[in-house]
Amino acid sequence: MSDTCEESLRQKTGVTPPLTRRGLLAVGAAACGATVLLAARPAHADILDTLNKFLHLDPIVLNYAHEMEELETDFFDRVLRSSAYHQLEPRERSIFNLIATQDRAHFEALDVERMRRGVRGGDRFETPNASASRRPRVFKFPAAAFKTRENLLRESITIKESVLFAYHGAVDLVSDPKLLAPAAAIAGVEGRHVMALRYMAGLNPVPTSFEGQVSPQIIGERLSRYGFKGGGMRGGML
Amino acid sequence: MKIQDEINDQSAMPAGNETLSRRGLLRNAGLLAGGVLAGGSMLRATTARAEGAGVDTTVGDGTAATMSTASGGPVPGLAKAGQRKASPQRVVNDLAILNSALLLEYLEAEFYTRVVQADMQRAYLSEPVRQAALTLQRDEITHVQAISAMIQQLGGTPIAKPGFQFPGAIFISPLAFLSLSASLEETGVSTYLGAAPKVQLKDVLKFAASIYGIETRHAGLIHYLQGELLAPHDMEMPITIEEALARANPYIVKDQVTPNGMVGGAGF
Repeated sequence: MSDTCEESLRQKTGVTPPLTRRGLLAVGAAACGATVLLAARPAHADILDTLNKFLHLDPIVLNYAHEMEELETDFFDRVLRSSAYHQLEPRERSIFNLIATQDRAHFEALDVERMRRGVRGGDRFETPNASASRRPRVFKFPAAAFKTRENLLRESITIKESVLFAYHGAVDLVSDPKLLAPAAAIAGVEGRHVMALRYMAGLNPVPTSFEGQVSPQIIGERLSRYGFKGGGMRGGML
Repeated sequence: MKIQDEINDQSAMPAGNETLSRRGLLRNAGLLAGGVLAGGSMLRATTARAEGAGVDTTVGDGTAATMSTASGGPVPGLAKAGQRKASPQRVVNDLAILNSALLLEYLEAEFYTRVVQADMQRAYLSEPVRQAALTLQRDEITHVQAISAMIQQLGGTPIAKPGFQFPGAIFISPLAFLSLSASLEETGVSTYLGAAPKVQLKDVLKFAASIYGIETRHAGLIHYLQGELLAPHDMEMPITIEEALARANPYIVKDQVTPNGMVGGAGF
Protein backbone atom coordinates (compact mmCIF):
# COMPACT_ATOMS: atom_id res chain seq x y z
CA MET A 1 0.00 0.00 0.00
CA SER A 2 1.48 3.32 -0.99
CA ASP A 3 1.60 6.15 1.47
CA THR A 4 0.65 8.95 -0.85
CA CYS A 5 -1.77 9.52 -3.73
CA GLU A 6 1.16 10.37 -5.99
CA GLU A 7 2.90 7.06 -5.28
CA SER A 8 -0.32 5.21 -5.79
CA LEU A 9 -0.75 6.81 -9.19
CA ARG A 10 2.78 5.85 -10.16
CA GLN A 11 2.25 2.24 -9.15
CA LYS A 12 -1.03 1.91 -11.01
CA THR A 13 0.10 3.46 -14.25
CA GLY A 14 3.66 2.25 -14.15
CA VAL A 15 4.89 5.63 -15.27
CA THR A 16 5.61 8.89 -13.55
CA PRO A 17 2.85 11.24 -14.64
CA PRO A 18 3.95 14.70 -15.66
CA LEU A 19 2.67 17.20 -13.12
CA THR A 20 0.51 19.31 -15.43
CA ARG A 21 -2.31 21.65 -14.46
CA ARG A 22 -4.74 19.49 -16.42
CA GLY A 23 -3.58 16.39 -14.59
CA LEU A 24 -3.95 18.01 -11.23
CA LEU A 25 -7.44 19.19 -12.11
CA ALA A 26 -8.44 15.71 -13.23
CA VAL A 27 -7.17 14.14 -10.02
CA GLY A 28 -8.87 16.85 -8.00
CA ALA A 29 -12.18 16.33 -9.79
CA ALA A 30 -12.01 12.58 -9.28
CA ALA A 31 -11.21 12.99 -5.60
CA CYS A 32 -14.06 15.47 -5.20
CA GLY A 33 -16.48 13.08 -6.92
CA ALA A 34 -15.39 10.22 -4.70
CA THR A 35 -15.85 12.41 -1.62
CA VAL A 36 -19.38 13.33 -2.71
CA LEU A 37 -20.23 9.68 -3.23
CA LEU A 38 -18.82 8.77 0.16
CA ALA A 39 -20.67 11.62 1.81
CA ALA A 40 -23.96 10.38 0.38
CA ARG A 41 -23.69 7.28 2.53
CA PRO A 42 -25.18 7.66 6.01
CA ALA A 43 -22.18 5.96 7.60
CA HIS A 44 -19.98 8.77 6.28
CA ALA A 45 -22.26 11.62 7.22
CA ASP A 46 -19.46 13.27 9.17
CA ILE A 47 -17.66 13.89 5.88
CA LEU A 48 -20.46 16.29 5.00
CA ASP A 49 -19.33 18.54 7.83
CA THR A 50 -15.97 18.96 6.17
CA LEU A 51 -17.41 19.02 2.69
CA ASN A 52 -19.87 21.76 3.58
CA LYS A 53 -16.97 24.09 4.33
CA PHE A 54 -15.87 23.87 0.72
CA LEU A 55 -19.09 23.27 -1.17
CA HIS A 56 -22.15 25.45 -0.87
CA LEU A 57 -24.95 23.01 -0.07
CA ASP A 58 -27.67 25.56 0.70
CA PRO A 59 -29.31 25.47 -2.76
CA ILE A 60 -29.42 21.67 -2.62
CA VAL A 61 -31.00 21.70 0.83
CA LEU A 62 -33.47 24.35 -0.32
CA ASN A 63 -34.57 22.21 -3.27
CA TYR A 64 -34.80 19.21 -0.99
CA ALA A 65 -37.10 21.05 1.45
CA HIS A 66 -39.08 22.53 -1.42
CA GLU A 67 -39.83 19.13 -2.91
CA MET A 68 -40.80 17.70 0.47
CA GLU A 69 -43.29 20.51 1.02
CA GLU A 70 -44.61 19.99 -2.49
CA LEU A 71 -45.17 16.33 -1.72
CA GLU A 72 -46.97 17.18 1.51
CA THR A 73 -49.09 19.83 -0.20
CA ASP A 74 -50.14 17.35 -2.87
CA PHE A 75 -50.94 14.66 -0.29
CA PHE A 76 -52.96 16.82 2.10
CA ASP A 77 -54.83 18.49 -0.78
CA ARG A 78 -55.97 15.03 -1.79
CA VAL A 79 -56.85 14.21 1.81
CA LEU A 80 -59.38 17.04 1.89
CA ARG A 81 -61.17 15.53 -1.11
CA SER A 82 -61.01 11.94 0.13
CA SER A 83 -63.78 9.72 1.49
CA ALA A 84 -61.72 9.14 4.63
CA TYR A 85 -61.77 12.85 5.39
CA HIS A 86 -65.56 12.77 5.64
CA GLN A 87 -65.37 9.99 8.22
CA LEU A 88 -63.46 12.26 10.61
CA GLU A 89 -64.83 14.16 13.59
CA PRO A 90 -65.22 17.93 13.05
CA ARG A 91 -62.18 18.68 15.23
CA GLU A 92 -60.10 16.21 13.27
CA ARG A 93 -61.23 17.70 9.96
CA SER A 94 -60.24 21.14 11.13
CA ILE A 95 -56.79 19.83 12.01
CA PHE A 96 -56.36 18.32 8.53
CA ASN A 97 -57.53 21.63 7.05
CA LEU A 98 -54.94 23.47 9.11
CA ILE A 99 -52.18 21.05 8.06
CA ALA A 100 -53.09 21.39 4.37
CA THR A 101 -53.17 25.18 4.61
CA GLN A 102 -49.88 25.41 6.46
CA ASP A 103 -48.08 22.96 4.19
CA ARG A 104 -49.12 25.03 1.19
CA ALA A 105 -47.85 28.14 2.97
CA HIS A 106 -44.52 26.37 3.57
CA PHE A 107 -44.29 25.33 -0.06
CA GLU A 108 -45.00 28.86 -1.24
CA ALA A 109 -42.52 30.37 1.24
CA LEU A 110 -39.79 28.06 -0.01
CA ASP A 111 -40.81 28.83 -3.59
CA VAL A 112 -40.28 32.52 -2.92
CA GLU A 113 -36.96 31.79 -1.23
CA ARG A 114 -35.80 29.82 -4.25
CA MET A 115 -36.76 32.61 -6.62
CA ARG A 116 -35.09 35.18 -4.41
CA ARG A 117 -31.88 33.21 -4.44
CA GLY A 118 -32.14 32.25 -8.10
CA VAL A 119 -32.11 28.57 -7.21
CA ARG A 120 -33.32 26.26 -9.96
CA GLY A 121 -33.38 22.54 -10.51
CA GLY A 122 -35.82 20.04 -9.14
CA ASP A 123 -38.89 21.77 -10.54
CA ARG A 124 -41.26 18.91 -11.01
CA PHE A 125 -43.68 20.83 -13.18
CA GLU A 126 -41.29 22.60 -15.50
CA THR A 127 -42.11 20.65 -18.63
CA PRO A 128 -42.34 22.47 -21.97
CA ASN A 129 -46.06 21.86 -22.50
CA ALA A 130 -47.32 22.18 -18.96
CA SER A 131 -49.22 25.34 -18.15
CA ALA A 132 -49.49 26.66 -14.65
CA SER A 133 -53.20 25.94 -14.60
CA ARG A 134 -52.78 22.29 -15.58
CA ARG A 135 -49.96 21.11 -13.42
CA PRO A 136 -49.52 17.38 -13.79
CA ARG A 137 -49.69 15.24 -10.68
CA VAL A 138 -46.37 13.53 -10.37
CA PHE A 139 -46.49 12.18 -6.83
CA LYS A 140 -48.19 8.88 -6.31
CA PHE A 141 -49.90 7.76 -3.13
CA PRO A 142 -51.59 4.43 -2.36
CA ALA A 143 -55.32 4.73 -3.05
CA ALA A 144 -56.08 2.81 0.15
CA ALA A 145 -54.62 5.68 2.17
CA PHE A 146 -57.64 7.84 1.37
CA LYS A 147 -60.32 5.24 2.08
CA THR A 148 -60.41 4.84 5.86
CA ARG A 149 -59.59 6.99 8.87
CA GLU A 150 -57.04 4.46 10.10
CA ASN A 151 -55.20 4.30 6.77
CA LEU A 152 -55.33 8.05 6.41
CA LEU A 153 -53.72 8.64 9.78
CA ARG A 154 -51.08 5.96 9.20
CA GLU A 155 -50.02 7.38 5.83
CA SER A 156 -50.15 10.95 7.12
CA ILE A 157 -47.88 10.09 10.04
CA THR A 158 -45.42 8.27 7.77
CA ILE A 159 -45.11 11.27 5.48
CA LYS A 160 -45.12 13.90 8.21
CA GLU A 161 -42.54 12.16 10.41
CA SER A 162 -40.27 11.61 7.43
CA VAL A 163 -40.39 15.29 6.56
CA LEU A 164 -39.92 16.36 10.18
CA PHE A 165 -36.91 14.09 10.70
CA ALA A 166 -35.54 15.25 7.34
CA TYR A 167 -35.55 18.89 8.41
CA HIS A 168 -33.75 18.03 11.63
CA GLY A 169 -31.34 15.74 9.79
CA ALA A 170 -30.37 18.53 7.40
CA VAL A 171 -29.85 21.22 10.03
CA ASP A 172 -26.05 20.99 9.94
CA LEU A 173 -25.92 21.10 6.14
CA VAL A 174 -27.19 24.68 6.04
CA SER A 175 -24.49 27.32 6.19
CA ASP A 176 -26.51 30.51 5.66
CA PRO A 177 -28.29 31.64 8.86
CA LYS A 178 -30.86 33.42 6.66
CA LEU A 179 -31.89 30.04 5.29
CA LEU A 180 -31.57 28.22 8.60
CA ALA A 181 -34.08 30.52 10.32
CA PRO A 182 -37.06 29.93 7.96
CA ALA A 183 -36.25 26.24 7.61
CA ALA A 184 -36.28 25.86 11.38
CA ALA A 185 -39.47 27.92 11.61
CA ILE A 186 -41.16 25.51 9.20
CA ALA A 187 -39.74 22.44 10.97
CA GLY A 188 -41.30 23.63 14.23
CA VAL A 189 -44.78 23.70 12.72
CA GLU A 190 -44.16 20.27 11.19
CA GLY A 191 -43.47 19.03 14.72
CA ARG A 192 -46.87 20.30 15.88
CA HIS A 193 -48.53 18.53 12.94
CA VAL A 194 -46.83 15.24 13.83
CA MET A 195 -47.91 15.62 17.45
CA ALA A 196 -51.56 16.13 16.48
CA LEU A 197 -51.64 13.25 14.01
CA ARG A 198 -50.11 10.88 16.55
CA TYR A 199 -52.58 12.04 19.19
CA MET A 200 -55.51 11.41 16.84
CA ALA A 201 -54.13 7.96 16.04
CA GLY A 202 -53.97 7.08 19.74
CA LEU A 203 -50.16 7.10 19.77
CA ASN A 204 -47.94 8.87 22.28
CA PRO A 205 -47.67 12.39 20.81
CA VAL A 206 -44.25 12.97 22.36
CA PRO A 207 -42.62 9.55 22.62
CA THR A 208 -39.11 10.76 23.49
CA SER A 209 -37.41 13.87 24.84
CA PHE A 210 -35.40 14.65 21.69
CA GLU A 211 -36.61 15.14 18.13
CA GLY A 212 -35.58 12.63 15.47
CA GLN A 213 -32.97 13.43 12.86
CA VAL A 214 -32.58 11.33 9.73
CA SER A 215 -30.12 11.83 6.87
CA PRO A 216 -31.26 12.96 3.41
CA GLN A 217 -30.13 9.62 1.97
CA ILE A 218 -32.49 7.59 4.16
CA ILE A 219 -35.37 10.04 3.81
CA GLY A 220 -34.95 9.95 0.04
CA GLU A 221 -35.25 6.19 0.08
CA ARG A 222 -38.31 6.31 2.35
CA LEU A 223 -40.16 8.88 0.24
CA SER A 224 -39.12 7.51 -3.16
CA ARG A 225 -42.20 5.29 -3.22
CA TYR A 226 -44.28 8.45 -3.57
CA GLY A 227 -42.16 9.61 -6.51
CA PHE A 228 -39.88 11.83 -4.43
CA LYS A 229 -36.67 12.61 -6.29
CA GLY A 230 -34.66 14.23 -3.52
CA GLY A 231 -34.76 17.85 -4.53
CA GLY A 232 -34.07 17.40 -8.20
CA MET A 233 -30.60 15.97 -7.73
CA ARG A 234 -29.99 13.67 -10.67
CA GLY A 235 -30.06 10.12 -9.45
CA GLY A 236 -31.57 10.90 -6.12
CA MET A 237 -30.45 12.53 -2.95
CA LEU A 238 -27.46 14.36 -1.59
CA MET B 1 -26.56 40.92 39.33
CA LYS B 2 -28.80 40.73 36.27
CA ILE B 3 -29.76 37.31 34.97
CA GLN B 4 -28.10 37.93 31.62
CA ASP B 5 -24.87 39.05 33.31
CA GLU B 6 -24.91 35.97 35.49
CA ILE B 7 -25.34 33.73 32.47
CA ASN B 8 -22.50 35.42 30.63
CA ASP B 9 -20.36 35.21 33.72
CA GLN B 10 -21.08 31.55 34.32
CA SER B 11 -20.59 30.74 30.65
CA ALA B 12 -17.16 32.30 30.51
CA MET B 13 -14.13 30.08 30.61
CA PRO B 14 -12.51 29.44 34.00
CA ALA B 15 -9.78 31.91 35.00
CA GLY B 16 -6.47 31.20 33.34
CA ASN B 17 -8.14 29.36 30.50
CA GLU B 18 -8.49 32.25 28.10
CA THR B 19 -6.55 30.43 25.45
CA LEU B 20 -8.66 27.32 25.49
CA SER B 21 -6.61 24.64 23.83
CA ARG B 22 -7.91 21.74 21.81
CA ARG B 23 -6.15 19.42 24.22
CA GLY B 24 -7.98 21.01 27.14
CA LEU B 25 -11.33 20.62 25.42
CA LEU B 26 -10.56 17.02 24.60
CA ARG B 27 -9.50 16.29 28.15
CA ASN B 28 -12.69 17.77 29.58
CA ALA B 29 -14.80 16.05 26.97
CA GLY B 30 -13.05 12.77 27.57
CA LEU B 31 -13.69 12.87 31.28
CA LEU B 32 -17.31 13.83 30.92
CA ALA B 33 -18.24 11.96 27.77
CA GLY B 34 -17.60 8.66 29.47
CA GLY B 35 -20.06 9.45 32.22
CA VAL B 36 -22.65 10.89 29.88
CA LEU B 37 -22.41 8.01 27.44
CA ALA B 38 -22.59 5.47 30.22
CA GLY B 39 -25.60 7.24 31.68
CA GLY B 40 -27.18 7.52 28.26
CA SER B 41 -26.70 3.83 27.58
CA MET B 42 -28.30 2.91 30.87
CA LEU B 43 -31.23 5.19 30.18
CA ARG B 44 -31.69 3.81 26.67
CA ALA B 45 -31.53 0.28 27.99
CA THR B 46 -34.15 1.07 30.61
CA THR B 47 -36.39 2.64 28.00
CA ALA B 48 -35.99 -0.26 25.61
CA ARG B 49 -36.88 -2.75 28.32
CA ALA B 50 -39.90 -0.74 29.37
CA GLU B 51 -41.16 -0.27 25.82
CA GLY B 52 -40.58 -3.93 25.07
CA ALA B 53 -42.74 -4.82 28.02
CA GLY B 54 -45.41 -2.41 26.84
CA VAL B 55 -45.30 -0.22 29.92
CA ASP B 56 -44.89 3.46 30.55
CA THR B 57 -41.32 4.59 29.96
CA THR B 58 -41.19 6.85 32.98
CA VAL B 59 -39.31 5.53 35.94
CA GLY B 60 -39.17 6.26 39.64
CA ASP B 61 -40.23 9.82 40.29
CA GLY B 62 -41.25 10.35 36.71
CA THR B 63 -37.80 11.32 35.50
CA ALA B 64 -37.29 10.56 31.86
CA ALA B 65 -35.65 7.41 30.71
CA THR B 66 -35.34 8.73 27.20
CA MET B 67 -31.98 9.97 26.07
CA SER B 68 -32.62 8.85 22.51
CA THR B 69 -34.44 10.66 19.71
CA ALA B 70 -37.87 10.17 18.21
CA SER B 71 -36.23 8.48 15.22
CA GLY B 72 -34.40 6.05 17.47
CA GLY B 73 -30.85 7.43 17.35
CA PRO B 74 -28.65 8.88 20.06
CA VAL B 75 -29.04 12.52 21.09
CA PRO B 76 -27.35 14.41 18.25
CA GLY B 77 -24.20 16.35 18.97
CA LEU B 78 -24.01 15.39 22.63
CA ALA B 79 -21.36 12.69 22.35
CA LYS B 80 -19.15 14.66 19.96
CA ALA B 81 -19.39 18.08 21.54
CA GLY B 82 -16.05 19.37 22.73
CA GLN B 83 -14.12 16.89 20.62
CA ARG B 84 -13.94 19.08 17.54
CA LYS B 85 -11.59 21.98 17.11
CA ALA B 86 -13.29 25.28 17.81
CA SER B 87 -12.13 28.77 18.65
CA PRO B 88 -12.64 29.87 22.27
CA GLN B 89 -14.88 32.73 21.10
CA ARG B 90 -17.27 30.32 19.39
CA VAL B 91 -17.34 28.05 22.43
CA VAL B 92 -18.00 30.96 24.80
CA ASN B 93 -20.77 32.22 22.51
CA ASP B 94 -22.50 28.86 22.50
CA LEU B 95 -22.04 28.37 26.23
CA ALA B 96 -23.92 31.61 26.87
CA ILE B 97 -26.76 30.45 24.64
CA LEU B 98 -26.84 27.04 26.31
CA ASN B 99 -26.94 28.56 29.78
CA SER B 100 -29.86 30.79 28.75
CA ALA B 101 -31.64 27.71 27.48
CA LEU B 102 -30.81 25.93 30.72
CA LEU B 103 -32.49 28.68 32.74
CA LEU B 104 -35.70 28.26 30.75
CA GLU B 105 -35.54 24.49 31.06
CA TYR B 106 -35.05 24.79 34.84
CA LEU B 107 -38.16 26.96 34.92
CA GLU B 108 -40.24 24.52 32.87
CA ALA B 109 -39.00 21.47 34.79
CA GLU B 110 -39.81 23.10 38.12
CA PHE B 111 -43.21 24.22 36.85
CA TYR B 112 -44.29 20.72 35.78
CA THR B 113 -42.77 19.09 38.85
CA ARG B 114 -44.83 21.30 41.16
CA VAL B 115 -47.99 20.80 39.11
CA VAL B 116 -47.57 17.02 39.12
CA GLN B 117 -47.02 17.11 42.88
CA ALA B 118 -50.10 19.27 43.38
CA ASP B 119 -52.17 16.93 41.23
CA MET B 120 -51.02 13.97 43.32
CA GLN B 121 -52.47 15.75 46.36
CA ARG B 122 -55.66 17.17 44.82
CA ALA B 123 -56.31 15.23 41.57
CA TYR B 124 -57.50 18.40 39.88
CA LEU B 125 -56.34 17.52 36.37
CA SER B 126 -58.26 15.37 33.92
CA GLU B 127 -56.52 12.22 32.74
CA PRO B 128 -55.31 13.61 29.35
CA VAL B 129 -54.01 16.76 31.02
CA ARG B 130 -52.34 14.78 33.80
CA GLN B 131 -50.64 12.55 31.21
CA ALA B 132 -49.45 15.62 29.33
CA ALA B 133 -48.06 17.15 32.53
CA LEU B 134 -46.16 13.94 33.28
CA THR B 135 -44.76 13.77 29.75
CA LEU B 136 -43.68 17.39 29.79
CA GLN B 137 -42.14 17.01 33.24
CA ARG B 138 -40.16 14.01 31.98
CA ASP B 139 -38.91 15.90 28.93
CA GLU B 140 -37.98 19.11 30.70
CA ILE B 141 -36.02 17.29 33.39
CA THR B 142 -34.20 15.37 30.66
CA HIS B 143 -33.46 18.60 28.83
CA VAL B 144 -31.97 20.09 32.00
CA GLN B 145 -29.73 17.05 32.40
CA ALA B 146 -28.70 17.01 28.76
CA ILE B 147 -27.96 20.73 28.50
CA SER B 148 -25.94 20.62 31.72
CA ALA B 149 -23.93 17.73 30.29
CA MET B 150 -23.40 19.59 27.02
CA ILE B 151 -22.19 22.71 28.83
CA GLN B 152 -19.73 20.66 30.85
CA GLN B 153 -18.48 18.85 27.78
CA LEU B 154 -17.70 22.19 26.21
CA GLY B 155 -15.67 23.15 29.28
CA GLY B 156 -18.24 25.51 30.80
CA THR B 157 -20.17 25.61 34.06
CA PRO B 158 -23.96 25.21 34.11
CA ILE B 159 -25.69 28.09 35.89
CA ALA B 160 -27.10 27.28 39.31
CA LYS B 161 -30.80 26.63 39.52
CA PRO B 162 -32.59 29.71 40.85
CA GLY B 163 -35.68 29.68 43.00
CA PHE B 164 -39.02 29.91 41.21
CA GLN B 165 -42.49 31.19 42.06
CA PHE B 166 -45.75 30.55 40.26
CA PRO B 167 -49.32 31.87 40.57
CA GLY B 168 -51.28 29.78 43.05
CA ALA B 169 -54.11 29.31 40.55
CA ILE B 170 -52.14 26.83 38.48
CA PHE B 171 -52.25 24.35 41.37
CA ILE B 172 -56.03 24.31 41.56
CA SER B 173 -57.27 25.23 38.09
CA PRO B 174 -56.58 23.09 35.00
CA LEU B 175 -57.31 26.07 32.77
CA ALA B 176 -54.79 28.23 34.62
CA PHE B 177 -52.22 25.44 34.36
CA LEU B 178 -52.79 25.01 30.61
CA SER B 179 -52.66 28.73 30.03
CA LEU B 180 -49.30 29.22 31.77
CA SER B 181 -47.97 26.00 30.23
CA ALA B 182 -48.83 27.28 26.73
CA SER B 183 -47.11 30.56 27.49
CA LEU B 184 -43.93 28.88 28.78
CA GLU B 185 -43.78 26.39 25.91
CA GLU B 186 -44.27 29.08 23.28
CA THR B 187 -41.51 31.09 24.92
CA GLY B 188 -39.23 28.06 24.78
CA VAL B 189 -39.99 27.40 21.11
CA SER B 190 -39.43 31.02 20.09
CA THR B 191 -36.21 31.29 22.11
CA TYR B 192 -34.60 28.24 20.54
CA LEU B 193 -35.65 29.46 17.10
CA GLY B 194 -34.32 32.96 17.71
CA ALA B 195 -31.00 31.63 18.98
CA ALA B 196 -30.48 29.05 16.21
CA PRO B 197 -28.79 31.36 13.67
CA LYS B 198 -26.43 32.59 16.39
CA VAL B 199 -25.16 29.16 17.38
CA GLN B 200 -21.61 28.66 16.15
CA LEU B 201 -20.86 24.97 16.66
CA LYS B 202 -22.59 22.36 14.51
CA ASP B 203 -22.81 19.86 17.35
CA VAL B 204 -24.52 22.41 19.57
CA LEU B 205 -26.87 23.35 16.73
CA LYS B 206 -27.94 19.75 16.13
CA PHE B 207 -28.35 19.20 19.86
CA ALA B 208 -30.41 22.35 20.37
CA ALA B 209 -32.53 21.57 17.30
CA SER B 210 -33.48 18.20 18.77
CA ILE B 211 -34.74 19.93 21.93
CA TYR B 212 -36.46 22.69 19.95
CA GLY B 213 -38.38 20.03 17.99
CA ILE B 214 -39.75 18.53 21.18
CA GLU B 215 -40.68 21.95 22.56
CA THR B 216 -42.81 22.55 19.46
CA ARG B 217 -44.60 19.26 20.10
CA HIS B 218 -45.19 20.35 23.69
CA ALA B 219 -46.65 23.67 22.58
CA GLY B 220 -48.89 21.91 20.07
CA LEU B 221 -50.04 19.38 22.65
CA ILE B 222 -51.00 22.03 25.18
CA HIS B 223 -52.93 24.03 22.57
CA TYR B 224 -54.64 20.82 21.49
CA LEU B 225 -55.74 20.13 25.06
CA GLN B 226 -56.94 23.72 25.35
CA GLY B 227 -59.11 23.13 22.29
CA GLU B 228 -57.25 25.86 20.44
CA LEU B 229 -55.30 25.97 17.20
CA LEU B 230 -52.32 23.68 17.67
CA ALA B 231 -50.19 25.85 15.38
CA PRO B 232 -51.32 29.50 15.53
CA HIS B 233 -48.84 30.57 12.83
CA ASP B 234 -47.73 29.04 9.54
CA MET B 235 -44.16 29.42 10.72
CA GLU B 236 -42.75 29.61 14.24
CA MET B 237 -41.96 33.12 15.50
CA PRO B 238 -38.49 33.82 16.94
CA ILE B 239 -37.70 36.00 19.94
CA THR B 240 -34.38 37.17 21.33
CA ILE B 241 -32.78 35.68 24.41
CA GLU B 242 -33.24 39.02 26.17
CA GLU B 243 -36.97 38.89 25.47
CA ALA B 244 -37.15 35.30 26.69
CA LEU B 245 -35.42 36.18 29.94
CA ALA B 246 -37.78 39.12 30.43
CA ARG B 247 -40.72 36.73 30.05
CA ALA B 248 -39.16 34.29 32.53
CA ASN B 249 -38.27 37.01 35.02
CA PRO B 250 -41.61 37.16 36.93
CA TYR B 251 -41.23 33.50 37.87
CA ILE B 252 -37.71 33.77 39.22
CA VAL B 253 -37.12 34.44 42.91
CA LYS B 254 -34.24 36.90 42.98
CA ASP B 255 -31.00 36.02 44.70
CA GLN B 256 -32.25 32.65 45.81
CA VAL B 257 -31.01 29.26 44.80
CA THR B 258 -33.13 26.34 45.84
CA PRO B 259 -32.19 22.72 46.13
CA ASN B 260 -33.45 20.54 43.30
CA GLY B 261 -36.88 19.08 43.78
CA MET B 262 -38.35 21.86 45.92
CA VAL B 263 -42.10 21.56 45.75
CA GLY B 264 -44.82 24.06 46.48
CA GLY B 265 -45.75 27.37 44.92
CA ALA B 266 -44.80 30.60 46.61
CA GLY B 267 -47.65 32.32 44.82
CA PHE B 268 -47.85 35.95 43.90
